[in-house]
Amino acid sequence: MAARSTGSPWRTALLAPTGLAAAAGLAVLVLLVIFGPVIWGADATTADPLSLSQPPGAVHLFGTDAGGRDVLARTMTAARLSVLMALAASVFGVLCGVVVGSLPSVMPPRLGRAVVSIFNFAIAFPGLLLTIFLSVIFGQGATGALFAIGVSIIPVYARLTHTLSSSVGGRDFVAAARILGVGKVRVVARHILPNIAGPLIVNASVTAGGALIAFASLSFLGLGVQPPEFDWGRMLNEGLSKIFVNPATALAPGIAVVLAGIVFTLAGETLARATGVNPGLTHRLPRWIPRPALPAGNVLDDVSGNASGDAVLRVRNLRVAVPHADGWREPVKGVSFDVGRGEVVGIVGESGSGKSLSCLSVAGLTDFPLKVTADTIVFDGVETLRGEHRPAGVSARAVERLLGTRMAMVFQDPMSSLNPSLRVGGQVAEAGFIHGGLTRRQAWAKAVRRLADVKIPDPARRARQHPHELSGGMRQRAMIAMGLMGNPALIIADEPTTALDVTVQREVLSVLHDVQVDSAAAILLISHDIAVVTGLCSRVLVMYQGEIVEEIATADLVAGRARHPYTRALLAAVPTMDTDRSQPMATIAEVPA
Amino acid sequence: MNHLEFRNVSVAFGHGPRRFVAVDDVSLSVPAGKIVGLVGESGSGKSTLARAAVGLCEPSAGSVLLDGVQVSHARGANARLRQRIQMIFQDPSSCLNPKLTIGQSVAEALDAAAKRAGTRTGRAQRAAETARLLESVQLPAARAADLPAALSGGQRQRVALARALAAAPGVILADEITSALDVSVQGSVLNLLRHIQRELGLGILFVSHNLAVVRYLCDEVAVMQSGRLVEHGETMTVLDHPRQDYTKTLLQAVPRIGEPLFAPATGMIQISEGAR
Repeated sequence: MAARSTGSPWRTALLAPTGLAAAAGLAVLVLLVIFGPVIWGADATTADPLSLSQPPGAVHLFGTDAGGRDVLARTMTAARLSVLMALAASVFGVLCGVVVGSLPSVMPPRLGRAVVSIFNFAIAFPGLLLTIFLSVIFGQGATGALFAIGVSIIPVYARLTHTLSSSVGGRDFVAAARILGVGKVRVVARHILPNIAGPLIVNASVTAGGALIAFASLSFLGLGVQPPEFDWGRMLNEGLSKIFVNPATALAPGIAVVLAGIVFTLAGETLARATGVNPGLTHRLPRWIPRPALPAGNVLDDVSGNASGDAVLRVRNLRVAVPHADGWREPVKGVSFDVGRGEVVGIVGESGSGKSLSCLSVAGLTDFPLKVTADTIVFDGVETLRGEHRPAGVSARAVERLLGTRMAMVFQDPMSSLNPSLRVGGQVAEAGFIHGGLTRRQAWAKAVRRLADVKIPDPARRARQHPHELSGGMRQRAMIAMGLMGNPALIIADEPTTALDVTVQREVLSVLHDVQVDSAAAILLISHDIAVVTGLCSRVLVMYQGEIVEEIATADLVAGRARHPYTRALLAAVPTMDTDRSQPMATIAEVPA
Repeated sequence: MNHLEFRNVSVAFGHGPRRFVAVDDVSLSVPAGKIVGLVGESGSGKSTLARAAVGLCEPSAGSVLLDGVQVSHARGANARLRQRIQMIFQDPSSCLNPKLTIGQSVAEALDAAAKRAGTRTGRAQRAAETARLLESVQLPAARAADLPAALSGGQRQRVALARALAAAPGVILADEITSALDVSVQGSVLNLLRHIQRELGLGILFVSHNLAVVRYLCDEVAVMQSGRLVEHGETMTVLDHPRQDYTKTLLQAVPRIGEPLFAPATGMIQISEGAR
């Protein structure tokens, strides 16, 4: 959710505590790299034979090393070599990694697969082991270490690039470019790399932190920087032999390595937030103006529903607010409706009309930072919302239990509403032992019966399967079965058949219909398909830009007695099996977002 | 002359026991200036057939011909000829590169066409041509500088159409191009497609699962089931007098406005004993 009080994500990311710390840390590092050797260089290399291995004191804050040189000055001076070497190794490794990782997209498939298996094989080695192995090959010294670390970064980056490119490469705009005959190299450079640059850059800064530590490790082992030159790793190496005599000589470079590593990681995190790769947790919401408190007692009853008196669901003046950069916007602007017991009501409207959001709010399924308010929502005789909160005297647990057992939800995409890693039966049974007081075994048995109720053949076997083993229609029926584990008074079906073929659509709708007839549950059917809604519902609510613009009996709608111009336009825009082919289709002007 | 022909095309994926035949020996012709609707359920192979025409997958048997020239498995001149077949996709959120302005996306197709024709276009000429194409799909030319994120779904589909037109196509494959759009927007995209098709005399293969849309737009209808072409003919003949049972089943399943989907109860369901 884009909930930020300032326009630019960069500013928000930088002003967060992480961003401020990263910026300050980077500034210090840059200053040290540029001016460190200039300021402390002389002190760092001047040996003072009169003060060998001094403990920390007023003159030498971190003492002196075995050569009588000031440890603090050496640490500050070593920053340039340590940081620059780490950066050079990362830049080399990352650039080569991106090139190698892009090769499979450019090469013939067989050769590409060979390249992929080579870098996958290289990844199997522990990173440091590979680095040490390479540094032995490249030889001791700073240059050798630089290439050793750089080369060991390549496979990691190659794989990252390859994985990201594969996911972007499957998208339609890449297919469109290939159809146009755009060359493979150009496709990579123009269509793939710009779309994966964000995560690559973020990871690069974390890699730089890793390279810094790897470099220190190599120098510490004596494989990296050689005397008389020195970096933090080399200083650690020299300080360690005197660790019991003078711990400060090892401590100072150690602290420097840790701090610099943290700065790189913080910088990566800030980049991630600013580029949206990893949205931060800190949202500054626009100021919320609470709605005036409502008088206790009866709420005004101003809706002309045919569900007089005994409504299973009563919603009055429901509003949903979403935070935006410039304040709160209301995708649902004061919606009121009733659903009678056993009634089948349809909600039609275009995407963004607020139809799904209204129903999610009724079911209590909206999340932070959305704000849901209503004069009242009464479900199955219990008021679940008054103003901004639950009314006093109604416990959260009671509402949860009520919604869990008496309200069922069926969503559009059954593949994402079922957990792919759990068996279907267990998921259907869940409501039974959470709300129904059944043991797991009883709940499972009941789940199998419910799967049979929704006409899933061989339900005992299907219950033991995972969602991917079921067809789309069967998954959707399993969702309905899940709702039937309680004793639903209302089934909210949000575009339940949109993702299905027409023949399967009819099966799923027939199950819904039979459930409604046999259990007398009411149904609230959200759909963009007017034919489906008029075929199943007795009453239709038409939503447009967050409001119910018309409430009409299906018979009247079908007979052309709709009063609101939007309803008439919507009806005219639907192509049917009787549309006049010689005329242009009726259209509705697009509303600017 | 822009006649697309599928001759005994099969498309198979995988090898050995995991081999899956998505399209099985399909022969279908899209005559110049005609809109042929291709209907069928998901998994029937209709999208795969379209993808085989443009080379996103190659036929494992049979061939794709454009004006009698084989363009499947082609290289060189014939592969360039294949670029006269262009495709528009279903998902408006994925059809345009989010990092390129819509002007750049259209210009890329213009460059491809110019390269094919062996001509070079100057910067000004390209900008003018991009503007003309955007206007031809009823978008203001000034939107050329916008990124796709600033456009609605219907507008993006129109940019995708402009990009396809920029490549100077003879045949357009439209793969479920209105499925992800609202009905109100769908109407304007259909009107536009029909208008442009008539103006340019394009052949269009219109892949869709929506029979009402196919009936409205197409001259001919082809029906696919499990990879095979089961029925093909003039639109009204096929829809009014279907010969195959499968076509009848499809037609009967289409919900119609005002017709109750079910009699009061099908009575086949019995809620078993339990909490009720």
